[in-house]
Order: sequence, then C-alpha cells, then structure tokens
Amino acid sequence: MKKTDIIDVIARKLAPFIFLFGFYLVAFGHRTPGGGFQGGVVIASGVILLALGRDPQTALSAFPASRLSFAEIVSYALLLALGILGMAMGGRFLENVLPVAADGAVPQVSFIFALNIVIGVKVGAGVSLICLNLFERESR
Amino acid sequence: MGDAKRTPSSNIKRVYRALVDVIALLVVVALFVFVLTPGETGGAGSASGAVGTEPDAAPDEAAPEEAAPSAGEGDGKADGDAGIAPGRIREHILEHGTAETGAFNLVTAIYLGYRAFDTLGETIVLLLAVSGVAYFVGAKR
Repeated sequence: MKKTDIIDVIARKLAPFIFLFGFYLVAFGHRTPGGGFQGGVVIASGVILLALGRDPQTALSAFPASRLSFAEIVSYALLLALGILGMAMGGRFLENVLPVAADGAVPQVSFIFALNIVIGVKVGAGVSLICLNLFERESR
Repeated sequence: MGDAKRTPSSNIKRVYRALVDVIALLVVVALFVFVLTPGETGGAGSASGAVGTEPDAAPDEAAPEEAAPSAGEGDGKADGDAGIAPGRIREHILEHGTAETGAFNLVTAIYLGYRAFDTLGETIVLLLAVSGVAYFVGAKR
C-alpha cells in the first residue's frame, strides 16, 4: 500500500487526541458512559492508527511488544489482587470493601475507579498487542 | 514437528509436561470452586450469592416500596426462596445502585459493582486471545 504524506501527518496528529479520549473514558467510567473495556479499546485504536498510518515498526518502537506484554500481565495480576483484597478483608471475591458514598468523587468510588484503570490498561495493551502482531506478520 | 524419530527422553519430557498441565488444570478448577463457594453470610437459600442482591423473601408484588428499604446487604434471612424476580432486581438497582456502589453510571454500577466476576472472565478471554495470537503469529525473538 502506498503511503502518502497526508496519511502520515493525520495519523501522527490525531493519535494523541485518541489517547486522550481513551484516558477520559477510562477515568470517568463511573460517571459517564464508558469504562475500562471501552476506553482500553479506544487507546488501542490510537496504537492501531499509528501502526496503519505510519508503519508497524514505528508503532512497535513507541510501544514495544515486551512492554505491552508486561503491562498486560501486571494489570491482570493487579485485577486478581483487587479481587483477593475483597476476600482478605472479609468479603467475597471482588467485593467492594472500600468505603462508598454516592457523591461521585474519586475517593468514594475508589474500588470501581481502580478496577476501571486496571481493566483499561489491560485491554489497551492486549488489543494493541494482537493487532501489532498481526500487522507485523503482514508486513514481513 | 511431525517427525517420527523421537528419543525416549523427549517422550518422557512430553509426558512430564502433560502431567504438569493436568495438575495446573486441577489447581485452577479447585481455586474456581473455592472462589465460587458462597461465603458464610449466605444461607442455604442464597446460592445466587451476588453482592447486594435482595435477599428479602416477601413474594407479594403489591408493596415493593416497603420491601426494598428493609433489604440489608447479605443478611441471611432468606428461608426457602428459590430465586429473585427480575423486576425486583431492577427496582433495587434503580433505587440503591448509586448508593451501594458509588457509581452514577448504573451500567458501571452493575458490571463492576454487582457483576465484577463477569468482567474478570472477559479479561481472561482477552488474555487467552492475546497469548494465542502471540504464540501463532508472533515474531520469533
């Protein structure tokens, strides 16, 4: 596929805004529509835009596959640790044991906020890892 | 990989690996059963076991407003109810969802507050998909 300068510039300028929108979806998932899964997919779509608009090697140099795998594994372990925290503090698995208030501020919904952050990192790393592997296979 | 010439030591290694796989599978299944077992607060009737579902056993539909505020979180006074009607869960989430989970977004309140286990399963599916893609088409490094 022939790459033009227009595609290159648009991909480079648009990707940070897509990242920002993904972080917004993850961080405000308890107030507005969105959440960890959706925000993570939006972040991964920024990585995919970089890989398609430029080339997969550029995206892989910005987001190396080893670091993406590390982020995936660490966030999955954190998710399990959050679940075991509920069991350790006398509840069930993944039960919310932190204090809850209904005013929507972050210290009061910290459990759901933490779950959103962890799931967002995990889904973003996972989906972008799948797509970067496939693109790299295609370009070889 | 389909070559028939295989030394006995590699056969032993394969058997050993299969044994390790089976043991790991058994450990995972045991952990799953342990996690899914209802806690000591749940009685014999509350096998649904979800956090914050309404264990009130009053079956009359005439006064749901009186039944809903008396629902504590997981008190085991459920004697012999087989299940909870879906309409009652909807009313409970509409009334108490934000207060119990702290999330204004009721969709988030359900899938991370009441049903976080479902999200854990989704992330396990994604993890398996990533490892499969990385194993089959990933670059050799």
